[in-house]
Amino acid sequence: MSRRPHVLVVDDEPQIQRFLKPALTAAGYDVVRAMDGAEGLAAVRAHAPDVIVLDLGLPDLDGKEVISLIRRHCDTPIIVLSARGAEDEKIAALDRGADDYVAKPFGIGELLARIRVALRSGGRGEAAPVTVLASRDLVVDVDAHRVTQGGEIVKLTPKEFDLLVALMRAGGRVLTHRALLARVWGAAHVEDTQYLRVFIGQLRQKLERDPAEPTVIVTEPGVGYRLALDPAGIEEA
Amino acid sequence: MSKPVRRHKDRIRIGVAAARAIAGRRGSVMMGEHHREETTALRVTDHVESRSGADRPGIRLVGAVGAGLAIVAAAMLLGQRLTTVLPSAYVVSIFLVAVLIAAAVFGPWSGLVAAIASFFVFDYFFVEPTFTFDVDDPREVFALGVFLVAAITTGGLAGRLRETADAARRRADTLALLQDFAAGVSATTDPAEIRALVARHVAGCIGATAVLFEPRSGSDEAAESWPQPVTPTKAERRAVDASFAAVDPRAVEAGRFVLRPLVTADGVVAVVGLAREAVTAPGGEAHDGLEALLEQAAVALERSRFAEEGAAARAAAEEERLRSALLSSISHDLRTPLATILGSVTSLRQLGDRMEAEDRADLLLAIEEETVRLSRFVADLLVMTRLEAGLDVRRDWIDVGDPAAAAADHLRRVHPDHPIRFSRTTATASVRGEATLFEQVLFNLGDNAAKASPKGAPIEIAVALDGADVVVTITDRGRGLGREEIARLFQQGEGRATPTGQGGLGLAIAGRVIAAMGGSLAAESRTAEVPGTRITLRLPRAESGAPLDGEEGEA
Repeated sequence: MSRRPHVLVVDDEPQIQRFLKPALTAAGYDVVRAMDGAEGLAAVRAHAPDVIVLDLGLPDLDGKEVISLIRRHCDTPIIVLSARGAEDEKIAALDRGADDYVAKPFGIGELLARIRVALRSGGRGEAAPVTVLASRDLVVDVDAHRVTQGGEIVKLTPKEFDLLVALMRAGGRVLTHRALLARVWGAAHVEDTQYLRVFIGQLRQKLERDPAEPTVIVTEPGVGYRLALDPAGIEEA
Repeated sequence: MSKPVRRHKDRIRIGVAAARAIAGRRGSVMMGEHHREETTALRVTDHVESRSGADRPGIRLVGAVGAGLAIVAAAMLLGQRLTTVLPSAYVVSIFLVAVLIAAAVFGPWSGLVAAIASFFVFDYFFVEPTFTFDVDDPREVFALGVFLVAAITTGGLAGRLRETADAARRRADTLALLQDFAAGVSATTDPAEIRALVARHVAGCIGATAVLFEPRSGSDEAAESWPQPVTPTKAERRAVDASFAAVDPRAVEAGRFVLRPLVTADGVVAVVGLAREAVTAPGGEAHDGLEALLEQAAVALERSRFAEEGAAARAAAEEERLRSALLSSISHDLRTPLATILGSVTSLRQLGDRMEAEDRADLLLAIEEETVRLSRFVADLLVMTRLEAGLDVRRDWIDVGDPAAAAADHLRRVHPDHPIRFSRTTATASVRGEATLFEQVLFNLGDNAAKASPKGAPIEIAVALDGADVVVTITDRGRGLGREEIARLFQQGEGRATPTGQGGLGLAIAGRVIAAMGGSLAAESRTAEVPGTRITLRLPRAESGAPLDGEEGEA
């Protein structure tokens, strides 16, 4: 790696900054700190970070507002730190353009995994249309409309297939219910969460070893779904 | 209309959203109400007109007949005087006038009686041969016949006119009463005032005592009455309660009253007692506009009840807002140290071997500090929970100097950057209270003071006597508190915890604990003798052996 990726941490809690700085440095990132929203916005312009870790509870600006302001001029991935239980806040942040979230308190491994995913997908702008996606032993050939798991063909209905492709393309980032519904069923169906429940259930029947304890498609309660990643992430073949 | 009304009643206790729903719906209720008022007003007009003329049998009729006869008698006397100067053909016009007057003043029956009586009187006294009913001249017979027809016709017409005028006047009175009532109730939202308006107008309408009962158990008094206060008898009260409980509420007689339940879509909002003699007296007539008035009263009372419930819902929403703000401040105070500890531990475990030695040491220190902070916060939380649960603060004999010195020691360890100066100017500073709680209070206040002060600024804790009080002051040289912050402090002193950026719980606890010890809390900031902020705790001195029962109640 020619250059260490820059991580901007926007958080007003000195204690959080205190452990994130050495941890992220040790994990191979350059850390820029900002203690409030205004400082954070200035740092986005000054340092052009590769990924932004943003606490939603800031003293000066609403975290969601900060997301909107950042999104006005760049696609840098944003990972939101938010309180556990504040699902509405997370969804609002994701709708405003955040890429992912980590609920406080979190282990450093969880945050590092999210940062890796965010860096790999390189922001919201989806990469050039990849036609073959793979994660673990799951391979999806978009053009051929073919899914194999461990080399064996898995038969999916068109909607199940679209859903799986949407999750695979997100590459381990969380997708909100609304985002998934809009992508698979269209904008008219963003409230029809029950569709999702049914089709995710069907997908799990076909893909999971134990559908009761899913390890391929992970539920983010109250927020949405994400694809569980192996450490290598999704390969774009 | 019944459904939405009921639904929003059920939802009232839910909170902010419910309050908003009520505000929205109230608009629709009011519109409905307005609509209803209009239809009742129309009904009143029908009601009055249909009754005109039909309801005056009995006494009125006798009076009308008497009046007609009396007027004819007067005409006869006048006629006899005039026969000396005028021919009898002219005298007949006097009787015609008499019939008109009788009909116009006393109504058509009076006119009819006057017409017939005039016919006979004129025949008897003024037509030759006089003093008999015989008529000599056949032309006179014709004239008499014409007179009778003319008298009856004009009498009838005049009487009808009079009745129409009567009806119009009564209708105007009724409308004025209803309008006055409507104007009165729309000008106020005060439930007591609305009750008074209802009682006064109903009493005015029936011309006798009116009483208003509300569905409140406990008090046996009528909610409102006019013109004088009324205490219902047991039987009357029972009948009122039965009216409220009735599935199909209807008018009943009870004791001195006829009870009229006021029914809305929500059920019986109130029961109006009308003085029995006024509404059921023999020959007593229905009171114009009473029905409309009662209907309007029901709507007004229902509306005032919605207003009361709306106000209660708003208060509950405000309380909920405060509570949720406090909860989020508490959860923040719990989460941040936890996030730091978990984050630091996982960082050390997963990345420790790649870190500089000093970074590792700093993470360990962070874990230690946050654990201490967390345990202190949990201790405060436990105290707060204990106070919220209504458990008493122990009232041991304590010397304030001891917990104060302990708090100062504790502060020195936590804030090595601030010189903590402890002084006492009295050897005996005994109060009743709980030493560990008091120490926690002083520590919290000192901790806040240190956080608000620049590095190196001293914090002074002083114990002194002032008359019958032991006074503990905590003085800092910090940025000082604004007027608002001090106000908030006092709010907390009253036991209402509000979230503040710093030590919100600490201040709330201080207020509660000091109050439970019978003392008070005061704050001053940036005054002549205080460079930063000074918090003064004032506690009643407990001289050894002095009875302290007087203070027990203040806890």
